[in-house]
Amino acid sequence: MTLDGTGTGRVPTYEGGVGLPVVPVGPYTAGVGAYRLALRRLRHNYTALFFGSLFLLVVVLCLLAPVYARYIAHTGPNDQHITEVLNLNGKSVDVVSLTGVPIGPTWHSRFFLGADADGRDLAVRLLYGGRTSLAIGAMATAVTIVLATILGLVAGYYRGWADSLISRALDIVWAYPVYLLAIALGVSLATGGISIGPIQLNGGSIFLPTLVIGIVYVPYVARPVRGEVLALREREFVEAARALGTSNLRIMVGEILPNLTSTIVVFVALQLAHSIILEAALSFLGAGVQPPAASWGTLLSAGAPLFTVAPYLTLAPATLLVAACLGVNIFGDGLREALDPRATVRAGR
Amino acid sequence: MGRFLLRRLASAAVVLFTVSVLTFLIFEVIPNGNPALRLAGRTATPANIAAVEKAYGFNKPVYVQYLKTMEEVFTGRIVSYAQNLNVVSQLRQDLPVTASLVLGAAVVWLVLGIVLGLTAGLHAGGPIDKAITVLNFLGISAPSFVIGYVLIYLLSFKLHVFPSSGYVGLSDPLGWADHLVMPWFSLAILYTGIYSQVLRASVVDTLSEDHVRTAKAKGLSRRRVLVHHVLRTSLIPIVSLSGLDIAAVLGGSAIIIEVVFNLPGIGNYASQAIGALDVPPVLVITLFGAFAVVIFSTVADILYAALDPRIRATGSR
Amino acid sequence: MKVGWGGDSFYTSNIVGAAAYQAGKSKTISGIVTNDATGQVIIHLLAPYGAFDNVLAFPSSGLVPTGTAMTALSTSPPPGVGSYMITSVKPNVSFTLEKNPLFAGFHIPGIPVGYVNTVQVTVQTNADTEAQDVLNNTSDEFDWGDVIPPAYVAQVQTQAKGRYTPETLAATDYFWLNTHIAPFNNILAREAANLAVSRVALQRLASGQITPTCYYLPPSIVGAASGACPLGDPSGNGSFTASSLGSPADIALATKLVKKAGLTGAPVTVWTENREPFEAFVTYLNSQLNAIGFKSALKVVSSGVFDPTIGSAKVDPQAGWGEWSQDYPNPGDFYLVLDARSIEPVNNLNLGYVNDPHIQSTIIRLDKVQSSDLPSVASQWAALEKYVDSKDYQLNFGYEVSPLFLSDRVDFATAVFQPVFGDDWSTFELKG
Repeated sequence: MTLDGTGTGRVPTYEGGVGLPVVPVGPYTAGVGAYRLALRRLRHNYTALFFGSLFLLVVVLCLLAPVYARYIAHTGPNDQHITEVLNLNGKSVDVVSLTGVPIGPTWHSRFFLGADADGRDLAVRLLYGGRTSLAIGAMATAVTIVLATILGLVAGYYRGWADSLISRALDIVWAYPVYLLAIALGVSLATGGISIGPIQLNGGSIFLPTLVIGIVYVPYVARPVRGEVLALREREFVEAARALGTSNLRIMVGEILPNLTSTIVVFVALQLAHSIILEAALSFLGAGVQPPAASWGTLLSAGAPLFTVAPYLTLAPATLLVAACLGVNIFGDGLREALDPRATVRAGR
Repeated sequence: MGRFLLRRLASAAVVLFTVSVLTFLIFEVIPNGNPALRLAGRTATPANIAAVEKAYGFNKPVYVQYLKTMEEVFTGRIVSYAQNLNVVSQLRQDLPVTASLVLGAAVVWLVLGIVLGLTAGLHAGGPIDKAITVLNFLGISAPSFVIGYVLIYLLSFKLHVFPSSGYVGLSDPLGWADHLVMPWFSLAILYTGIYSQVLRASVVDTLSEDHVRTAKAKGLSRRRVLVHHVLRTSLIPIVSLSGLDIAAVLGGSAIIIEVVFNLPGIGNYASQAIGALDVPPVLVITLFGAFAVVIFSTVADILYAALDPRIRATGSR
Repeated sequence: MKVGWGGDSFYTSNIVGAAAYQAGKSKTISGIVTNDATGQVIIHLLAPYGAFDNVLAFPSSGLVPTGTAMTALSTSPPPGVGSYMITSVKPNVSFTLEKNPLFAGFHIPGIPVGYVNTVQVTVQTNADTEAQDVLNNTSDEFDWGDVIPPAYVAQVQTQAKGRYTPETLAATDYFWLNTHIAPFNNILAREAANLAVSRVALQRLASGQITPTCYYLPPSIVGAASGACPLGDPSGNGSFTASSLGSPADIALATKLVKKAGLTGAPVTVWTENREPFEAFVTYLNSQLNAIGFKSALKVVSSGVFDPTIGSAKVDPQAGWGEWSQDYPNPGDFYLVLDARSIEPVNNLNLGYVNDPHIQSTIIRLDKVQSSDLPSVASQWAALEKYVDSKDYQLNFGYEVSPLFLSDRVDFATAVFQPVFGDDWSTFELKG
């Protein structure tokens, strides 16, 4: 059955592996395309729309970082004002006190949310950091989805030794303790960078945490995809295509891949949240984005030692991060429901 | 079943071997990461460094070093470069802490997840369901260490209910629990959210099924029927999923939580060892974590294979 | 002599035959001559080194018979001969010290015999908890080797007024500048960097726990200089510009100097390890170098590989954070860093690649002076300090401060803090 509405409305269920997502190919109504139906369902899901807009709001705010920095805060994300003294309501206040405690939110255009321990404007860094975190999240998600789809397709379609090889590789990545792998790779790559042939990445490049995060989640997505492909390849339309002499590649891309779309779409939303959170965790442990670049993770890490005297240093990035992830998670859930109300895709790791 | 087990054991061995090689190599490629440079100290001359290399065998080819290290791992003689202490005995000291943390958190998330999931499902569509669903999503969307810091700020710093860090052994059960409550919840909230959602969906599904309606028609209380049926079908999958999640937590969030709450467990030890680029403890702990994942997923696979003959037949997993 | 400690070179660089012994080329150290009959030990040095008695006084230089096996004794420490002895050890967890009953009988003049009977030491890796424990008196001493966490500094200063003093250590923090490659081979660039770095700002980054300075030798070392800092000679005609430590960074003048040197836009990479506050120091340096016209990038390296990385000639780092704390109270120890003979391709100490004939001749001459005669050459060391400053070879910015922070139970007035060895537990007395 393809999603353009031909064929019978059988609803198979398939356990794609131990407890991993169960995303049946959904039922549909003859005459109305399944995607149209999904969109209609989504449009009426006000919660999902609201939270989706929340996520978009965070994205837009972060994209406007340069505008905020130039016109409102009048400072860049890396400009340090350690010994500067501000005039607030007639009182002179140090941006960074003699004991190293930075100023709290002034609710004015400069240092709106206060300063960090290095005398930099927190609000400016928060928005620039958001750009980095969201960019890493998006790129890592792309890496995960692309790799997982290819691997899942090949493994599920060809089976045999290709499947064994790929499954073994997935097992290895899966078994490797996530944070240890990420930290070890992060530390070793941050120190030296990578140079493989023409590809030269220095230690501070954000492509390094992107790659690490992207790869770590591949088994999580590849296994369910493989499971679905295993089921789909037994279907009549695939048999028919094979009987017609269509090449394997054509079958994989032309017949099977379209049927994976709803699974993949839901995973995109899930993985975005996962990637943002993992980036925060890695940067918090010092293995992600390298200073002085800002990301929500590095902001959290810098704010943690001062949490008791300057809590907003941690609470500000935490709030934006949670808002973004909440938005994309609930929207993703709404997507899943719209594409098939009976699927139970797991979220979180 | 026997063949299945054998296949799984073989693949487990391959996985662990590759993990050990990878770990070794990751540290090998670190520029200027030669441990002899650090061991020889700040004022070392090239001659000093060469002497240290000879003493520890760092001048031998990589595979020789690897074999020597792995031999030490299996005989338990492996010693850390940074502290000159036996890694295995350190781990034995640290294991109860991590076990207390992870197993305790698992209990919390199972209990809370089931309770919340059942409640939400039973009142599906209503305000309680909506509230619980929002909480679940919040739990999924917040990193565990953020939750940790917020809890420390509110419950420890402001209200002085719990101590903010440290670990007290089981010999003082009240102190032990006192120090672990916030770490347990920080770890558990994510999985509570997940399991609660899964269970809720399961309850909602079950509610619409025929034989439940029949049972209701027969007069059995709705609650009993539901709970009985849902738990019966979901318990095994949820418990085996928990097993996998425990293994994932061991190599994942447990490390961060141990750092945040300063619990002297395996994760904290690993994080310090990586920071010091000390290969022996990192190697042993990584193998330990990978081993846990492999064991738990094998057990989970066995459970599923026992329940569903189709999986066994489809060959490689 | 497989000393599992970084101080090998104090022996191999000074004692005749020690290098050969360590490389395994000889079974004994030819420079050490013992006479079993008279009990005399003569040690021959490669060159006169006035501070050698300090080397012999290292706690780590224990003389043992040949053939003693080198094993880690952390879990079963050897018997000590001081006022306290270690009675039980749990590595990374705790250890206990108890009064040595025999020590009082030695009647060593001037050395306290100890007051408390037992010292129970628990390893607490979280400095926040440490500070809290001492604040609420559940623990008696804040480890002097730790820094009071920034979140607690203000609280400790007010709440623990009568039982806390910041003690200046004999340790200096500085930024080294690589003087044999661009851009810091140009003295104008170095002066500009010196002007751009505000010592007061760096003090705030350290939560107030460094004492601002521009001189290298700490005040407790004989030969330390004082007075306004000669920050170099921007006019180029031999007159020094002096500045006071409290002055803010002079970005305008620094930018002018960089332009005059034709180095605007010159790329620089500054290096740091990932521990605070050192990372904060270099982040500041990075931002200031950018402000005065360089194109500076920050490189953060894991602390495990920091020293080997910056010490590698292949890496040849341009600038970064460095620190020197005294091995012994002799200026010659500190000047190892500025000595051209310290330059090595691996594990380099002289990160500035400083090779100045005047410095070399002065060091060689003054190193011959016996440590007991140090005060007689103090003014010469001080003059060398001013010379080094005028050349801006390194940007010294602070002496490290260590907390003497005790609980209410301990008599604060009698507790002694020693600049090298920290808190002297044998002087701790419980009140009442």
